[in-house]
Amino acid sequence: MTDFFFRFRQNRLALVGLIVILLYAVLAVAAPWAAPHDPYAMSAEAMLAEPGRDYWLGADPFGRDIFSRVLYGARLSLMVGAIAAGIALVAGTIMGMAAGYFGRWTDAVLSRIMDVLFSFPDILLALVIMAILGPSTVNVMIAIGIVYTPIFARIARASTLSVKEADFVEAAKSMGARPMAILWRHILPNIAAPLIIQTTLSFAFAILAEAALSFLGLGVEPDAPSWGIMLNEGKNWMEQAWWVAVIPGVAITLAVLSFNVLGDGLRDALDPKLRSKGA
Amino acid sequence: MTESLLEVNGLKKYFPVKTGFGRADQSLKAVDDVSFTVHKGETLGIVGESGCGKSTLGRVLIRLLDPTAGSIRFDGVDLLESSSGELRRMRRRFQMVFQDPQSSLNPRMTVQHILEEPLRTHGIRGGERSRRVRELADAVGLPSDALKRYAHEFSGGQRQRIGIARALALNPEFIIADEPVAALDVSIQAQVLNLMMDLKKEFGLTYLFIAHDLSVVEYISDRVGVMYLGKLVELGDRDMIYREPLHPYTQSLLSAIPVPDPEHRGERVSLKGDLPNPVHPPPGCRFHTRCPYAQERCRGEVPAFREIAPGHHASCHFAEDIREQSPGQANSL
Repeated sequence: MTDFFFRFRQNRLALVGLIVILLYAVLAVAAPWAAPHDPYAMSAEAMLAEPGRDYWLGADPFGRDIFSRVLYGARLSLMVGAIAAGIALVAGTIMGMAAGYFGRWTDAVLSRIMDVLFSFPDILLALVIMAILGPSTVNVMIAIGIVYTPIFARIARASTLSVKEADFVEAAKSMGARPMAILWRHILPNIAAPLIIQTTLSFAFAILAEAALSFLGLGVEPDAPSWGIMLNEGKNWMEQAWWVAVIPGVAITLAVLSFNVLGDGLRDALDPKLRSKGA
Repeated sequence: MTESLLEVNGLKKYFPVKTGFGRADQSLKAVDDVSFTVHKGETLGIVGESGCGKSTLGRVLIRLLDPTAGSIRFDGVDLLESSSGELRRMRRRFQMVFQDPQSSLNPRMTVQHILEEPLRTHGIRGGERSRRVRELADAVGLPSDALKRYAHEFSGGQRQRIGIARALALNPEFIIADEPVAALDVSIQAQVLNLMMDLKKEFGLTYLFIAHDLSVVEYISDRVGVMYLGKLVELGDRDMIYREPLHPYTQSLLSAIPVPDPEHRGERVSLKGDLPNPVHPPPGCRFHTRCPYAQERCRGEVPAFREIAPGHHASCHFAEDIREQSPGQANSL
């Protein structure tokens, strides 16, 4: 574990990513106190106000404060990211471990389901699920969670396949350990590293997916302070008021970039063998 | 001594070999019709070249692999007929020590957890469990601070002690050791072998000791079985096997042991060729392709595994002749 922290600290970029994410997290938690305005409050005078003293990052076409909305948007994005990535992690890991460990028809059935999910483009699949479930924040989390489940399932299955051949698994079997105990005590701890890395990366994808769905109008409720919705509203005003679209855009880019470099850093630190392959 | 603990009859393990489009019409005969008995309190050594099926034999006996045919009776109970619950309870009584102490110990577990696992699996809890873990660490000579550390922090010999302690956790009667010292330095091998012999005396264990190293097997075994290409070709008391081998394969193996004597000029019966492919084993006697005495008969007729001298079995058409020609001395043919 000390090796891990040492290797992680060596990676400056990942450290910066972590700090940015922590900053987002703090701002998201502190949004009710840190936001200078009510993110929902409209005002005719402030319509498309330029960034300045009252509206630090300007105001949108309804006169709502963009800075406040970005803060509340961080809340939404991080929550959607965490829960969606969590759903994908748990569901994918359980299915992947079951497929890899039990093999035969369990593997055949689960792997075919995952292949079908995999064959759709991410956003298209999320759109289909959202169209079925209807737009709401909870449904966005479920849809994005389902979309990213197959990635976790494949990683968990492949790792399980290699770990289950290890002698220590045979040893556990030979002493009469039950499959659940073997999966929980022997397989899971030994496949955790790639899953943790994928969780960080999926966090970034989930934030992006939420923004995309909301941009397309099939995401969270339309008045919610979502970065995707802000981007959508801003795109029509690019020439008169660039800040309406650019500010949420920067917020998305920075968050996704931070999670990606953090994920890469974690991979290098947790699994140094992968580094040279550049995977 | 003559009470039997494990009876193996006609045991076969074939692995399907896929050819072309997933059709499994051939099989690799890893263990082919092997029968023997392990007596209570003895150490039966199984030797053979790598690929002869000795590790597969061990894995079938411990029921990690399902045999293709045959029967395994442990203390009178047929392990192949018992229900999964019965088998689970029986597993307390026979345990395995693995070859590679690096890969047989979970890298994410402390020694404490590794030794607790068999106890936890069989419902031993609380104070009794932690007491037993300390006893085990003590019995195999692990340092007192070992329990909190991870397996990779130990040397190979120490790790194998952890593996042995784990095998002993449930007070088994029978231990299958699959090449337990092959991965260790020669200087450490003797320590681990002596530990195993001490533990055998202390806990009244019975061993099936699988190895490719003839000197190791001679050192630890009471009786020795020799395997070649999935079959047991010779079985008998250690001294009979090492002094008066009746199978040409055993003779050639023994003649390959280096003798630490510069004056020694032993004749070597060297083997011709490689181990044949176990997917297509030679017809007749499986050893005929490499045997110095092979006759026409050996190519067509499978030799019976029979008792040539009291307590000494071999499967060679000419075992009786070999015995007459070389009373009491090996390698003189």
